[in-house]
Amino acid sequence: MTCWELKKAGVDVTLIADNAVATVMADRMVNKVIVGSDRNCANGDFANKIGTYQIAVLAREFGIPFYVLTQPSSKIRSGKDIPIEMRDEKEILIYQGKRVFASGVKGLYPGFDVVPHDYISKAVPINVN
Amino acid sequence: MSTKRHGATKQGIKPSVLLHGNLTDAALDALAKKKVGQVFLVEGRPGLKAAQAASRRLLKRKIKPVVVADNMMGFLFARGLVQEVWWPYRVGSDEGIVGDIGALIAGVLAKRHKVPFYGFPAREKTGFVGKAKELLYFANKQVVPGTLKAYVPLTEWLPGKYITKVK
Repeated sequence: MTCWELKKAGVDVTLIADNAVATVMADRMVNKVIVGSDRNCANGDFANKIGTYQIAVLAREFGIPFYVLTQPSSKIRSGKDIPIEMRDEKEILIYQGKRVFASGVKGLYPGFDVVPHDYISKAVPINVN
Repeated sequence: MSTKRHGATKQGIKPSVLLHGNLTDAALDALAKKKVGQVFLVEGRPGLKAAQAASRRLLKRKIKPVVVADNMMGFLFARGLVQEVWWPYRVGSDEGIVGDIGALIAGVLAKRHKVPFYGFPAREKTGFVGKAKELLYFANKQVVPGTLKAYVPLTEWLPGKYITKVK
């Protein structure tokens, strides 16, 4: 979906796997990181799709600015107060009705990460209306 | 964030070793000797072959694999669920390793969370860069719309400062 939207907006897109994020950062192919947020806390912590936390840690490690688009809220005090949805393990183990891992293998699928506010270079408030 | 809201611990998930499937039988035997019971096994995209084969090899050794996607490593570290990292390398020395892709993510996270990172010789050492098709297609079906460029590194350099020991 993001690929489609970016291409529609005229952005030159190159797809990478989640496990290639660090190598493109280390090779200086990334000059900024922009992520969204699903939940925002009063102290600046936020929750976003799974994978966001490790990207934030890597951005810090490689000195890359990390920007988050937020919908500011004070309803939740900090990231510790955000419950994380654990999705069905079938989403990891089954693809198009076929099991892709042997019987007896378990899967773990947390849907979201919580990112502490100290990893954020700048929070950019957005108006979704 | 709707539906089921329960933690990993409520699914019977315990802190354990995080590993990539491209480890040799000798490494898996060493893991079995530690009587770990359960491990976290990363998918290791773009292909799943190493993880699929490793899961069968782990089950043979009475070790239960819990498969996680490559983007879930950070979650596991943040929740204190990773005790050690065992990662395969193609070339290694005290200065660092050329590890299977994902090594640098696991290494940085391990250092950040003060978890030991161990490098082991890889089982399969072919292929340093993959083809775009490996990422754009899954099970022979295109997974992204239209034509798209893809960059598919299969290995990466992990400097020695992130590594506890190269075995």
